Amino acid sequence: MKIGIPRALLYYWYGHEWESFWRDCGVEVVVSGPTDRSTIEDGAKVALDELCLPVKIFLGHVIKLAKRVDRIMIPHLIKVEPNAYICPKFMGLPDVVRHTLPELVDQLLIVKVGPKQVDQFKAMQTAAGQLGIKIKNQKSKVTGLNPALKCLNNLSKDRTHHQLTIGILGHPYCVYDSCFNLNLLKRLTENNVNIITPEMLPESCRGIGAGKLEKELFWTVGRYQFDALEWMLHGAETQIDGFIQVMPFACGPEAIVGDLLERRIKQAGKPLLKLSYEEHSGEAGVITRLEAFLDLIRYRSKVC
Amino acid sequence: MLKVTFPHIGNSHIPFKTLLSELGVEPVIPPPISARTITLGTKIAPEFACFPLKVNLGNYIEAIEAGAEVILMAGGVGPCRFGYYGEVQREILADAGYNVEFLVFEAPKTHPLELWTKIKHFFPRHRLADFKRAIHLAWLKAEAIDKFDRLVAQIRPQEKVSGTTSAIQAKFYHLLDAVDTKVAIKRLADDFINELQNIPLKDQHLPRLRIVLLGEIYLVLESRVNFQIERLLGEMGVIVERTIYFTDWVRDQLVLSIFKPNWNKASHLLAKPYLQSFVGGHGIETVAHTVAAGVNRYDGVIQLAPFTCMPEIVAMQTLPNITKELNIPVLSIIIDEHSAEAGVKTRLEAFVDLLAHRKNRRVGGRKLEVISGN
Repeated sequence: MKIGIPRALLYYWYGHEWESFWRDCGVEVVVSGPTDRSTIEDGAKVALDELCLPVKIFLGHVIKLAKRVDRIMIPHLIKVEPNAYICPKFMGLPDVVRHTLPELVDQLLIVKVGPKQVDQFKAMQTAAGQLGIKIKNQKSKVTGLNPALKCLNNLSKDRTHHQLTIGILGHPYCVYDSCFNLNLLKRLTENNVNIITPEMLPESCRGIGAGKLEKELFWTVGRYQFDALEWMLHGAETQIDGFIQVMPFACGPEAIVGDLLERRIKQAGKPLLKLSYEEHSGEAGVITRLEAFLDLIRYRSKVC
Repeated sequence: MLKVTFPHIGNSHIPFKTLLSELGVEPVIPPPISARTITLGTKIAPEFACFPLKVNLGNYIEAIEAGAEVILMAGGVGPCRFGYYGEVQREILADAGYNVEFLVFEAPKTHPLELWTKIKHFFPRHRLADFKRAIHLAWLKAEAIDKFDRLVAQIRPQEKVSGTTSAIQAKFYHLLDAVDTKVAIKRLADDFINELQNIPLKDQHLPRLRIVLLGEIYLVLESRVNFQIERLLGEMGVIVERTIYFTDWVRDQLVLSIFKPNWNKASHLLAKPYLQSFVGGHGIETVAHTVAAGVNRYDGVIQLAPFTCMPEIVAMQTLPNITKELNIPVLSIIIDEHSAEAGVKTRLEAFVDLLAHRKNRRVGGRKLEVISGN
């Protein structure tokens, strides 16, 4: 049996865990290739216009996998920690897939995490049970880095001397999907910029930013970004010259979280570039804005 | 006296005003939502925040101009963005230079009695008996409004002289706002329901279109934001069945949900073939009511949603399949600060025309009573 995992959404956080789990089950795992323009086109064709680009990309990956594998794993992440959701679109993800791609319904393998059982391993066990696979009640050691950090490692090879350090804020599937953000990370490294992303946040710093909020935030990825921002602004190892916020056009949680983050960045007196993407994004626009932003920061560091 | 305000949602300002004045503070009702309100709110709100947040901000600013010192707001636990409105709005207003206090009604983060201390601090009359009386009076008014509105939706499409019902409705709201005893509220409601029932009606024998109005609660309830969609449809001769009423929402979602965890089981069951997971907001209800409309042979469904509303988008994705399987036409209208009345009206007229044509064929070529346009 072959199981396909779409390289989209929170694959960038949990992909290595999912892969090693299915390998332990003795199942062949196929991860869809990196996003390209055709993935986006496929997804956008079947999806409702109003859906955000990451979900459209997810659908594109599902379409790409359908021919190659027996079952496609659909991570139904309602909650991965108590008291916080991911996003309503993640909660309705299996329904969205079912309605946009009705011909694939029998091929879907839904792994439901939450709302009560937030442990991913147990959720995976249940899903494996549906396939008739019994697995020992013990978590085997997960090897390797998560896909997000792998992306970063690939980048750092061609690092030279840095002039600037830029903090990037955004959901992992926006930051590390180079087709989504039109090669943002690569472009920055080529411009001698040192990149700091939320996924570099040390485990010990979890909760330092979100804990300061007067009301507990109920979106996991949002909480994570608050922690990351706090660490980037006040951590000793990060000396950030400016921030870039990467988000999908009309993203619900980011409209709120992004705004609160922006206010904190402004208070700290740091420059910020906001980039929002949809399926019609043109590369030239991003390049121009990026160049202008970097020029301004360089100029600023000379003057101040 | 402390001047307290709150954002508009439908006609709830009438019961809220009673509630606040009974608790010993001076209610400041924000001026009715206008183009200015929306412009003021949009200017300082995040671009992709949902429309209600922007209109709320406009309400606050106009209320602050009228002297409000404290803002009352509801809270929530997600995943819908509404739960975080209070926090964001507070920061936005503070950054924009408005000096105002927020009182958000929700379970406190640290100390369980925190909210009570705050309430005690703000309201001079805070004995249990005061609350009981205030809430009872406000509830009577809210109930009277909803009962009246339900009847209006039935009568308006059949009135002989166009505009009669709407005139009586406006008068009722105005008078209800002024009375402040249980007896007076009851008498007023009875009088006006009588008056409604005595409106001269057109020929009753023609079958009429029946449309279910559903979607995101704010847009469904707030007629100044949804371009008075109920009235527009009513004047086209369509009977509108609104699925969300303010009192239902308070009773079910706010009160009943605490005591009865599966209060919404019927909706979940109805929605299940199309939408299995809870997606926040009114997502499940939208799907469930659409299914119910199809099963009960309504002529059509209109879904209202603010631009970027997450729960409604997930629901929207399922609607084409419900249309196909249950043979129920659905029109989704997305509204934000750029929407214009003409655009909405044109789409409504086209939709109603199509439905009328469809129904004509079904009832064997008998002409339907549909007034489209002017």
